[in-house]
Amino acid sequence: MSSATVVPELLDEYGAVVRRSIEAYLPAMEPRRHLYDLAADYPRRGGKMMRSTLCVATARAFGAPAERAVLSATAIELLHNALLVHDDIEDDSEERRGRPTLHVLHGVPIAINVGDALTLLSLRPLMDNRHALGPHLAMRILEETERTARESAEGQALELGWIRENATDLTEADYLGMVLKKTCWLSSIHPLRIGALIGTEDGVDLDRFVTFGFFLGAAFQIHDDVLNLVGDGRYGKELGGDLAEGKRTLMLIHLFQQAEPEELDRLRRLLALPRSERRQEEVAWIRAAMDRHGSIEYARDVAHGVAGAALNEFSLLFDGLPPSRDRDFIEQLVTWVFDRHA
Amino acid sequence: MSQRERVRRPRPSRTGPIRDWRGLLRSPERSAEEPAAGTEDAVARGVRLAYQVAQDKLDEGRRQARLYNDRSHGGWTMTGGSQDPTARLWAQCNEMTRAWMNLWMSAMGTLGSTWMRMPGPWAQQGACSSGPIGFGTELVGGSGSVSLTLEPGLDASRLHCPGLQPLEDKGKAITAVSFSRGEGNELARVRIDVAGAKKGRYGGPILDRDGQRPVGALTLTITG
Repeated sequence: MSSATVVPELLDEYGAVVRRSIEAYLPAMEPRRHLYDLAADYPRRGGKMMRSTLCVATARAFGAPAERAVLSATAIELLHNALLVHDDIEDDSEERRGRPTLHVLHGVPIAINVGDALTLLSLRPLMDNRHALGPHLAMRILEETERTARESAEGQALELGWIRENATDLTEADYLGMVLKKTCWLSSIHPLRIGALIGTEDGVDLDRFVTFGFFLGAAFQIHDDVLNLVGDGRYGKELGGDLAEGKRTLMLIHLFQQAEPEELDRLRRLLALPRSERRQEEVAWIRAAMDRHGSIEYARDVAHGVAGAALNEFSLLFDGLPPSRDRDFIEQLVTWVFDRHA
Repeated sequence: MSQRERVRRPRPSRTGPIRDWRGLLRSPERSAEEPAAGTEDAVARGVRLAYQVAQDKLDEGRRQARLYNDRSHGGWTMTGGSQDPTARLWAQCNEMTRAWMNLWMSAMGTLGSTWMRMPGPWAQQGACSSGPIGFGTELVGGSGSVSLTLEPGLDASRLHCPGLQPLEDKGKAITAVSFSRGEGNELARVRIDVAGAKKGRYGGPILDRDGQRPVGALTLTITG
């Protein structure tokens, strides 16, 4: 099956099942107006369902029925949405999936509480795993989830700390280390590890999935950051929002490295300002400096290189498994990340 | 020969590729006229760094896992001394926490069966498919067919299947699966005890027993 069809097909197919499952875990009870109706907002805005589909596809690629992975996939999506609510507050983001962010609509205190509730709601399907998978696997998945939440929080702390301290001496390795924790662990490493855990009944070394998941997630994140600068209206977040919030992307780090001394001074001054005081023309100047120094092209090249390495890691991991739609999906996901609104 | 001074190229600042990525992008000696790293450099550097970061992460994970295991088994005494009351208390707390977590999972699982249980929305085929390979099968307690896909060149005695899950309906997994070296032209021989198992299709991965590496898959159809 071609990459043009297998990825969207499985995202639709498995995504629909996980969405139905998510609905079953969103309480239809009071207090609705300031909690449960809002907790359902982000999940119902229609994300790609990439994480949950990757989890189900990995379990199936190893021979498990998809049903055994649905509860874990549900928990992954609920936790992902919980972190999005809090990330949007921390980053002062204005748009999420084409609409105003939750804290813009309802205020920061209510949004924080909704994020907390979504985190806790993500535990319920993991507890129900005990019936579907037995206590041992359920406990292993809970342990993996705890690690994922920790990695994500550590990655977010790194990025927020860089912005707060106006760090400009960062390296690409710093960036990749942050992205591994903040993005890749929940986006790809965790779904792969959980899928493999279920598919092999905890019979495989999960470390083997870190490298492939990291490369897949890093290619995705770098391309996502590029789209934030050059994307069209379908992107779903505000264009140039990363520059406005001073996010340390690979492009910005490249610019730190390449800028002339006077450019670097101006860059430092601009990034030291709070987001509300950073004017549009100053953001446009940073963007133009990135063009002058080839920072966006550089990031694109790195993303493609990492994606190539991901394909290599894929064959090391999955070549021993028989051909299936699910295995094709995992492989084609690597190139699909570049097809998104390129 | 001309008396003019012979024209020589200036000595190059370097004569080999730059291997130290840390100095490559932010070298204080670098002039503004020096060309930026080309496409190949960016790709190669990105890949090299990504592998380095991945390896660092794996090493860190193993260190943390060792620390966790040490703590779980009272290993703090290795550093704190068995007479250290704090270390003993810490180890006991860890044991209690693990016991409590198991109890909690059991209790919440029971609650979960009566509250917000989701319907089973899946009814699909399994992911396994067959592949031609010369192997022998032995089904004990029933009849049916087996298909097996394996990486070539494996030692059958090192293969391990953790279990075959039912692919079409809910039911019990088949765990009595064993591999041995083949006889005659057989590459491998698989023995599956299907006594008491329902009719239908079952599937599961085949792992390398030592490396815990997935090396193939097995599909079983029980017909009687």
